[in-house]
Amino acid sequence: MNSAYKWIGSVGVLVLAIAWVSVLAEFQRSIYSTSTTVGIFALLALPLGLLYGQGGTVSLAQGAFAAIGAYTTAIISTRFNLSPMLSLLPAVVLPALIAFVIAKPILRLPELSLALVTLSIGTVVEVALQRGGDFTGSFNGINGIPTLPFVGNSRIRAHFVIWTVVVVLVIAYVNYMSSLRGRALNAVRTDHLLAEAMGVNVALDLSLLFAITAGVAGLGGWFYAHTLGYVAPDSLSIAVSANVLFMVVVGGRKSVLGPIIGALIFTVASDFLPGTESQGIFFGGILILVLLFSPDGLMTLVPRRWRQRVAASPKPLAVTQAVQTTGAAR
Amino acid sequence: MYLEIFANGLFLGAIYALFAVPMSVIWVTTDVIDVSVGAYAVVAGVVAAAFGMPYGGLLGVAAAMALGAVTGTIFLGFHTLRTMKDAMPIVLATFAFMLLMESVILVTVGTDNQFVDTIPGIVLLGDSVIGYQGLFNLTLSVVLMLALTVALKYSPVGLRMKACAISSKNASLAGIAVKRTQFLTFVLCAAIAGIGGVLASMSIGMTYASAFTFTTIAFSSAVVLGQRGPLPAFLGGLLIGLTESFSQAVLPNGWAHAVPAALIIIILASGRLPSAAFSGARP
Repeated sequence: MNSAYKWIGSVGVLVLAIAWVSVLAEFQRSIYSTSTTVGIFALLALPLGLLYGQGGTVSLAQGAFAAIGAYTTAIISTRFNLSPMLSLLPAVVLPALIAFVIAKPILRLPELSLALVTLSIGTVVEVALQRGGDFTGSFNGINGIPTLPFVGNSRIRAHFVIWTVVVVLVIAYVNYMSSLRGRALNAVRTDHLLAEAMGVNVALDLSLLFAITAGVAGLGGWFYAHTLGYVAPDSLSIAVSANVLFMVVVGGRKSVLGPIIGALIFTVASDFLPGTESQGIFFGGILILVLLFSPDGLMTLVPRRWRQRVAASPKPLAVTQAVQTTGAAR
Repeated sequence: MYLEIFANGLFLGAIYALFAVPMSVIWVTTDVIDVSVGAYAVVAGVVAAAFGMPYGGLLGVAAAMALGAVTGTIFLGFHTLRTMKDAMPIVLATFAFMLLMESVILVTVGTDNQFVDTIPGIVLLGDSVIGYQGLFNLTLSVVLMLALTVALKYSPVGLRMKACAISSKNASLAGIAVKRTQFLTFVLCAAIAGIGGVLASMSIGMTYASAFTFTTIAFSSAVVLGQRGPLPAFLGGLLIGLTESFSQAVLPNGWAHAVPAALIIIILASGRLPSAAFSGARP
């Protein structure tokens, strides 16, 4: 019952929203471009929502991992003239692998210092890309990245492809959170020690989640590079990491659709604001207000009645039970 | 040559120390890392550049204190609304405030580098050139640190801040106005960061984007010696300045900017900073 509600409440709503936007876009074609941008941001925000909202682990390195994915595909497809489809795997695996390797020493850190360490990773990656010489194109970045073979220059196809991927990710997210591993993740967020005492391999679970987060960000970077045809150190910088965190916090970190709502608000607001210079005033102000008055994001404000109905429905396995089962399975 | 690199590192570190000390004092007193420390410094520096010295410097410090008061109000707002289950939302709010201030500076003065005329004059030590500005930075920084140490040890406000740092609950039971003390901490620390910002505008210049860089430097300085507290943060600032100065001489162009960030990663990932440092316990 609960799982069915979740499906209707997240995947169903998302598919309906995509269909509605697609109809609207037929009247105003520029919506397709905006929608594609929202989709790319959603690819960065959605895994961060999972990591922060469900795992309680903040990362400000999403932009850096997306940049690694984008540069990997840019270098492979422009320097070696290989198909973008061949560079998909390295663009996803490389950031995931880097994240997995660094995860163990950094994920044991408390929340505050973890945020600053991931922010620092972003700084180091940005400097490395700026100073990478001909290999990374230095400050100018890499131009002439080919478009995806099944998308070409079509904005309509880009819109549908990116949102198909987002829907698949949302399904995976919902299923993951309904699984024993997802409940174990909630236990980890609630209490590391208790989860570990009940048999959850906290270090491995969080490392895998961090790697998945980075891998999906790499996928976002792959889309970004092949959609825009250009990538530079500023394209997916620390500012992007901060913006992605903004999307997750404003939309709602504990909700599946929250990060996507956040990506939508961010992109649409960016389009409507008069200049890029003043965007920080708007987004900074909004973020402070949301954190003050609705710390769990805007999604917790809107569907209160809906959530109450879900809360009233029969509960699934208790977290502790699930954790025990996970522990026993190991 | 090495003497000049060392001296320049020390002079640069003296400015960094003035970013690190306020971050550390706020951290121990409120258990929150104030990410907008860099913004206080940049606003002070920009105001100093706009109005010129000496009044510009004073106005800059006053502007920084006003920003500190805003952050303090936000901090108290979280407590009043009882939305604070952990410190993370407040840290994110200070981060948002830094972004907001960066944008305000960008809209107001644009992307140009903001700087104030340096104190003229040099001292020659062999083939090393030592500027008066650097000596002024170091002297002022040391004097401020000594004044802060004395204030924390002997003044009523300092003792109240110390009590809040050890245990805000016990301080409250002892009749100390904890919230007022914490608010005052934000304002006083913003003043120190503002003085650092004015010195930075005289020595290295700054743009709207320097706020984030200064915050990163402040945090790396505050943790580099593995302990929380004003003195470790001060010494950490000097160390980061020296490291950056030697990195600029040794590393390829531009890589020195990554040194504070790399130090944060190495120190925190190596587990050198005891976990108690994050739990509110006083070192």
